[in-house]
Amino acid sequence: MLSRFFVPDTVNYMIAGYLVFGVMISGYVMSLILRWRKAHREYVYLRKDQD
Amino acid sequence: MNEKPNLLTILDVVAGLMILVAAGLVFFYVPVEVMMGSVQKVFYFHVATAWVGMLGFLVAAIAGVVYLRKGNLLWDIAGNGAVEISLIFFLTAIVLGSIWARPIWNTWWTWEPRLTTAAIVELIYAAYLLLRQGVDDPERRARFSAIYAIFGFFSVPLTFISIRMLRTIHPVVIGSAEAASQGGFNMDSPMKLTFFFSLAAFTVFFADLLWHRIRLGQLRAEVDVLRIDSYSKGE
Repeated sequence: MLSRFFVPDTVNYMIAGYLVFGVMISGYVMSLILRWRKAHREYVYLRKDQD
Repeated sequence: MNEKPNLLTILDVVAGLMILVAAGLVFFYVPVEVMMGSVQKVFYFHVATAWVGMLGFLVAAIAGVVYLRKGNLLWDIAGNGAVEISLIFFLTAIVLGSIWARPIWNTWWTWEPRLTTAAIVELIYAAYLLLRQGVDDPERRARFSAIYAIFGFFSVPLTFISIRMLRTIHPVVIGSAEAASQGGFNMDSPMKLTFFFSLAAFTVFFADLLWHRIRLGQLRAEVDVLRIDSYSKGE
């Protein structure tokens, strides 16, 4: 029971960990979306050029 | 270019919901571990991101084998996509581990077997992406990448077994830990549920991202063909 009073306060590290996770993974997802849009624009342009 | 398949849209929704549920379990369901405090909750996404990293490197090696047998460039696109996604997830796992280590080991980084082999794996696959850029011919690039991904994969099980075979301070949560390990704990039922659900959620998320990445690779390949066509017409 005593240990309940001595749980170390490491909540800031947990927040930092999940912030890092959110930034890195959403950053990658954003890069996928942006690269897709860029490639799609180019595809439409070149397709028109061919026609 | 084909329209986005309905199945992919469904997979987007399922993957997103599963990640949200996993985060909900971590923050609102699983109990705080008494020896480490809240930072222990980093463990669930740390292992899940590392798992996706290793899974992707395995997918890349399998795609490499299939490419060498069939010669279809789609397998090169799949392998390249798997490595790209895994590199991000594996780096995330390393950073999350480092954040966990600061209050538990009293250091951000130490050159013990797990951390060292993980850093080597990350560098091997970073080199894969860099070296691909140096080969212009798609067939040669695909052949080189396939062979590299197959041989590169030997570094992955080495990382996995390093904490089970060598003297290390990195804890082993599933299986027997080395006596010198620091930060280990026994999982109770809510912890096990959160842990295995996170693994499942990240596996679905990986499949979703890989499908998107393959579609991007295919679109780029089509753009390259059109560009060459329009260039040769212009001459």
